[in-house]
Amino acid sequence: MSEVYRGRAPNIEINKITREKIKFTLSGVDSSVANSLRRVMIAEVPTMAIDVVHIHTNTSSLHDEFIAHRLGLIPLISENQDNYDFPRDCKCTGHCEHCAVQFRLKVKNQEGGVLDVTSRDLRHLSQQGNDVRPADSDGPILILKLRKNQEIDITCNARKGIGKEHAKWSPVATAVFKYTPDIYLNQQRLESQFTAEERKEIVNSCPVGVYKLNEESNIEVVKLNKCMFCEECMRKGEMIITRSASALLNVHDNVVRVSQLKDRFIFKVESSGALKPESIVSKAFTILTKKLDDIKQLIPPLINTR
Amino acid sequence: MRKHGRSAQDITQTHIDSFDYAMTEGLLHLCERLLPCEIEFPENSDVGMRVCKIWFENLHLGRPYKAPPTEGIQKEPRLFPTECRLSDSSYAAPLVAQVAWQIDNLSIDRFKVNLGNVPVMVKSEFCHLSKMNQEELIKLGEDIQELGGYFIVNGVEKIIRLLIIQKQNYPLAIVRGAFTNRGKMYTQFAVVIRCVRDDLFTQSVTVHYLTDGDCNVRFILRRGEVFIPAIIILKCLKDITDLDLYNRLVRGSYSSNQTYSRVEVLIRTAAKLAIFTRESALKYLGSRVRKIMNPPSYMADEQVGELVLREHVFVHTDNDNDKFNLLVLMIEKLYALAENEISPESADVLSSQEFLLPGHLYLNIMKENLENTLESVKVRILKEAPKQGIKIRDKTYIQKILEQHANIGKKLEYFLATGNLISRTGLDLMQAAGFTIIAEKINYARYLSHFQSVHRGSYFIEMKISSVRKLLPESWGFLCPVHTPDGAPCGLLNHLSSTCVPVSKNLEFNKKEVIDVCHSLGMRLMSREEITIFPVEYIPVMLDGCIIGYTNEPEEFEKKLRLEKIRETIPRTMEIAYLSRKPLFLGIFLATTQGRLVRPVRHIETGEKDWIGPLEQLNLSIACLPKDRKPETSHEEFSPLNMLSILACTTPFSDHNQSPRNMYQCQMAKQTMGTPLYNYQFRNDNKLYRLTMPQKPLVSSKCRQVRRNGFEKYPSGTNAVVAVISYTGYDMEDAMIVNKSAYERGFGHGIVYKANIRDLNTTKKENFSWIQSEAAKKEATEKGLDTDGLPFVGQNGISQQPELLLFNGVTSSNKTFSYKDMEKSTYDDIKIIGTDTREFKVNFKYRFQRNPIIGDKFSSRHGQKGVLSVLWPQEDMPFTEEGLTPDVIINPHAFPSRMTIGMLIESMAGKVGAIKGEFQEAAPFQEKDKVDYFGKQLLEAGYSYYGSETMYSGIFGTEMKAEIFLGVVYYQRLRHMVADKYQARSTGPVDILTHQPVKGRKRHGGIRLGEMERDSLLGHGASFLLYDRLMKCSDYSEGYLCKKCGSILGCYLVKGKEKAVCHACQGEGVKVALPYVLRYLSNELAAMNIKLGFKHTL
Amino acid sequence: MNAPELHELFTLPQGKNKVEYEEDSRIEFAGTFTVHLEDHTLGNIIRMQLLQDDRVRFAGYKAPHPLEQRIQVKIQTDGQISPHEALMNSLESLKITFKGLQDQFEKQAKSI
Repeated sequence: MSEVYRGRAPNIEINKITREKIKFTLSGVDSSVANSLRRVMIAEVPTMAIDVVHIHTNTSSLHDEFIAHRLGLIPLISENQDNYDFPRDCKCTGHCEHCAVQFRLKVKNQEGGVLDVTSRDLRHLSQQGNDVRPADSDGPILILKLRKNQEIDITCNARKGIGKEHAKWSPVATAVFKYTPDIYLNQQRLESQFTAEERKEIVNSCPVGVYKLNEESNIEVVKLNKCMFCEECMRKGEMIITRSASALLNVHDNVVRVSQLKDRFIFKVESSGALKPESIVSKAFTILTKKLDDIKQLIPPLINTR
Repeated sequence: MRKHGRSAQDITQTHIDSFDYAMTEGLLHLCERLLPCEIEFPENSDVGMRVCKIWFENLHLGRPYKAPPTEGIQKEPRLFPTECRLSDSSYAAPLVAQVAWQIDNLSIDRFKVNLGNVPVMVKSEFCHLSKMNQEELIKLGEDIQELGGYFIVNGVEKIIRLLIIQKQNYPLAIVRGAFTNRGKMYTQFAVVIRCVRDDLFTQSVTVHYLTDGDCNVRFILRRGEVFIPAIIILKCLKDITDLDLYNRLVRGSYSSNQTYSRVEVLIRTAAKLAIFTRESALKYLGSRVRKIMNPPSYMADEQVGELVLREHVFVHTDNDNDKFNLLVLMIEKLYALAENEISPESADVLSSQEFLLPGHLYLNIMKENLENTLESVKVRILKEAPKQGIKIRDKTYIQKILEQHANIGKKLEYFLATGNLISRTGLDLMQAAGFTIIAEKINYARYLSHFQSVHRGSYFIEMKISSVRKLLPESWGFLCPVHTPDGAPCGLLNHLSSTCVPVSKNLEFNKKEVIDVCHSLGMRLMSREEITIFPVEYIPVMLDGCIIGYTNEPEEFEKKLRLEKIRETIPRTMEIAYLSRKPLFLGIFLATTQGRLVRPVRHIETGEKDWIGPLEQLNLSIACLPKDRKPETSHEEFSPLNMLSILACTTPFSDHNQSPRNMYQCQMAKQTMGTPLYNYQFRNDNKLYRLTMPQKPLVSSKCRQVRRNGFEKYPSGTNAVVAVISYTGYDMEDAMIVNKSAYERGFGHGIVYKANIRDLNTTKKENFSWIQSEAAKKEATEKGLDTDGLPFVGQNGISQQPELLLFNGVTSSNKTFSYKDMEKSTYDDIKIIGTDTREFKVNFKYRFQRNPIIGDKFSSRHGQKGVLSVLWPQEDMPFTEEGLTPDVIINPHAFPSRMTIGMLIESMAGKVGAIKGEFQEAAPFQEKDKVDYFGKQLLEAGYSYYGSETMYSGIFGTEMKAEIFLGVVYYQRLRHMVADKYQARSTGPVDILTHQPVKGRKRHGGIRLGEMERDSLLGHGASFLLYDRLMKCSDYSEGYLCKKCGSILGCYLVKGKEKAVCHACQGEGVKVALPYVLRYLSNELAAMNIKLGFKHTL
Repeated sequence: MNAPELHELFTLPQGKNKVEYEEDSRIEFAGTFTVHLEDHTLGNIIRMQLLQDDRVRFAGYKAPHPLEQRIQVKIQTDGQISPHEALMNSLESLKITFKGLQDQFEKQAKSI
């Protein structure tokens, strides 16, 4: 396992937030902490999703299971999911307003042509639960299409769940981190032993364009975070040294070195639309803390049982 | 020739065209050729006539119609394929014959007879769908792309398979050891010709070489073989002097070979039999075959001889002169073979083969059945003549008898349903079964392949020698080298190459014109009347088995003739085979017949398309690529892909794979779940597979072969992000890990439809019918059914739950039928077939949700199959810096030994395609360096050149040392699913006789623990386990053993006492545990008076 | 059909406690904690945190089977503290870390 970083204090810094994406830097912790955060965001932050579907009428060309599956995958805005219980924790049998939000999808194509049935056709069955609704900031989500006289009548319950149970409850499209790259350029040697042409070669060797030649045609790191540790630049530098006369002198000492800062993580979280990206992160922390706490509570009783 | 290569329709067109030809022109020829049935009555009979004749004047096949509708109800009278499929009936049309009937050569009576409903090929001229467009097809519930080419028999789609047979009208020089068994003096040399008449009647003639230089002609007559000296046949065919014949055969060559002395022997044979004239020869022939032919008594031997010559010797021509010339040529060839001047030809190479087309076989069977009908009518009339007397002269009587005996429709239906040929003559074929196959619609690829499949004949399956299975260079461009199954049918079941077409339409041309063209190009004509003798420098020109002339400038002639062919003054698909070099038998062989294979190549001189045949190809120089051109090269391939079958063309980058992998892929493509069709609701197949979320492959061949045949419209797989990494150990040994989230989002989801028709005709007889009483309705509702006694569509089918409730109006009782399958399903559709009054069937269609589970089989398109070993949670999967987790993880060990580099390239190409949002070209034999092409694009998009990426462990969050090869590969889901195969039992049904568990999954039987398994347990010393398996879980039983005599049979329990006494010796019985079969064995032996006694220590 | 039941993800196996402890019979100050219904998410951070404690001689965890919802954390200490205490300490410090991070994060998120 990697080295232990005890010296620095854990720190978090938000780089960018948009409607569906957040980027932040986590530092002063080791990869296990970063990974646990990532895992919780993917699998354990609860959201609401359609889970139980009752099909009353379905004369569309698609079969029942298929429609149910599609309904399940529609992201529902779940900012208020704390107001709902997990169905397994709820005291009711079946469903109640504490654990389910009911929708009805009742459409019939009477005009002819092809009618699109979208997530906007999902209607709440009761006044409660209006806070849980299909996310449609990118427009309505197509569920199925109906031809003339085809009809669909469905009631369905949105329930709370986590991504571990089914991917439809996962609030993220991706939640990912990577190590922070650390690029060392031996400017001195680059300037003295490399021609401008060779420097350009190094710059071009990077598939993601981390480097740029500045006015003095020196290499400059411009997009550090883009680096994906492919080490193409290192290889290129090595190659140039080997093929030039200077190979005889300092072979081992590379002019470009890419390494990783193993206690600094660049996170990227994309929301599925169910939750705001910042609430995903914040909820992930809450869940992790709760998990730790739960276990901690259970340890003292064990001490005496030996 | 119709323009070829436009759509998938072309694939079945061969079948359709051959059927159309057979049922239009073929039927006409058949009527002409069918011999009248002559019935000869004894002189003193009281029927008032001596001889009567019956023959078919005209045969007409109609279109399928339903039985005339009841009055007043306007129903669609036409019968459509959909209805046949749904109701398990046959798509058949009436065959009506105009029969002529003549008594004692007097006036002719004519009447019509319905010969029964003959199954009709879908989309043929006789099918209602033939001229319909897509919209009309959809309205009828057909698939948008209904291809036809098959028959519907009892609701099942049946195809008559293309069969490889010997090339027609071409004399083949054969050396076969078995020929010596024909009789004394016979050698292994023979020349065989398979002659085909215009009514597609086939008759082979063999000329055998005898040790003394003589030749015998052999042909089959009524299943028996007839041997006649060649000289007799020659004399029968032409009034010719021995000198002329000698010159004609020797052709002035006295130098090197022994031909002249052989010809002397040949001619002497006639002298020995004292046959000098044509009449005496015919008489001799007639007397030899009279017994077999059984002709009317008034026919003289000469006439019988003529009849045999006409009907059985060289039937492809009616002209005696042509027959004579052909026989002379065959003798020449035979002598050349015996002299070792020419090398023997093989019947196993494609150049001496052609196809038996479905329509042709169908017509042949029809013909034989018509003959049989006449024959049985004859027998019947002769039998009834004494009783019926004068009544027989009545037209209606004959009509009635004919109708009774003519069940041609049923005969053909039987043929199609079973594939068995019931025939008197055997139709000159080498097999009697296995002619038809079911057109399974498992997926589109499989369905198409059925029409492309070509079988060598089931006769060869049992043959131990492998020469027939070999891939020979002759089949280049005609048969696909890749698309053949491995295992038993390997090399026998082949598939057509993508551009190869069997000629299935009659070429419209005039034979005379072709001869004239040839003449104008320098060919010397063969005189009809006189004997022209061409010196040996002249080589023969044959057209469809008839010599039309000789030429001494064959090269020139062939070139010019080819230009004429390209100019279409002679048919474009005519085969011009110029055999130019020794050790071939020199000659120019022109062929225009059906069943031949042709394929297009570019004629370099003109740049035009030239259709060439297999024999023709052998003697042409064809460049595969432009760089292969040599000075003598006359032709060029249009594309190197033309050598592959349509299915083999779809394997991406197959030129980078090890060849067996491409074969495996051809197999597996046909087992994938995909999109076989779009009209699911109008189909009633026993099993239909459907991939719920299919995708078009990102990487696919966009060559014409693939595009035109509609593969894109019927996809059968999913593009998956595949990482090649040994991750958890769950990807060992070809297992694959699937991302659980990918699965939950729909990866590989599929459906199986099953249909079950409940035949309720017997229950109807017991007065059961639909629910009519309120009580019954109530009961149905209580049982979870609708008030009509049927389940709701969309309701679940659960094992042992009721699915049908019928009501007995007489006893007012109910009867419930329950769902039988163990697996839960959904009622997809319920159809009622027939009415209460006529037939009574209910068709239940079930839908089984078959989403991937552990153990289901998947494969890429490179013969890389594997089973799903675990659904791995997304958070535990390795991830890239972009946050991408693979859908599928496969083990790197899958590659080194299998060398499927094509799959690696597909992965890179798929990645490029996904990044750019473009479909990528994947046809084999592209010129470019594909790795570099895709690698550069990957670099451009910010990925590493080879497509590998840094990944992080999903479990620890640490970076992995090695870069992981990650790309997008098209994955197929194969139809082998655990749900269909799992088998387990603790106890269950046992065999009555042995008390051992029954076998078979269906019967909930056990799995055999065989000898090898037993040995392995013994080797481990696992005696308890062995005892458990072989005794406890099998046929454990308890019985009494007599202490005194050791018998296990004799003991009986004494009444009231807990004691057993031996019946035989009054000894004391003790309770022992023994396998039940032992008791059975003991009993069997006792029946043979053998006592089985056991030593014991009790 | 052959997949594990969904509820196994959330419900404790019968007769089991969420956390169980078994002392090592051969090694002093060592024992194994079995935590049900948890996976690598907790296992890995606990292990890493334990390793940062000088008094912990050995810390390791495993998820015995991917279809079983439990992890086992094995701890051996040098005797100054018991494995229980070591675990408690690391859980506490992790909690503090996360709490601190969350506070930081929320503060920043609000200000944006």
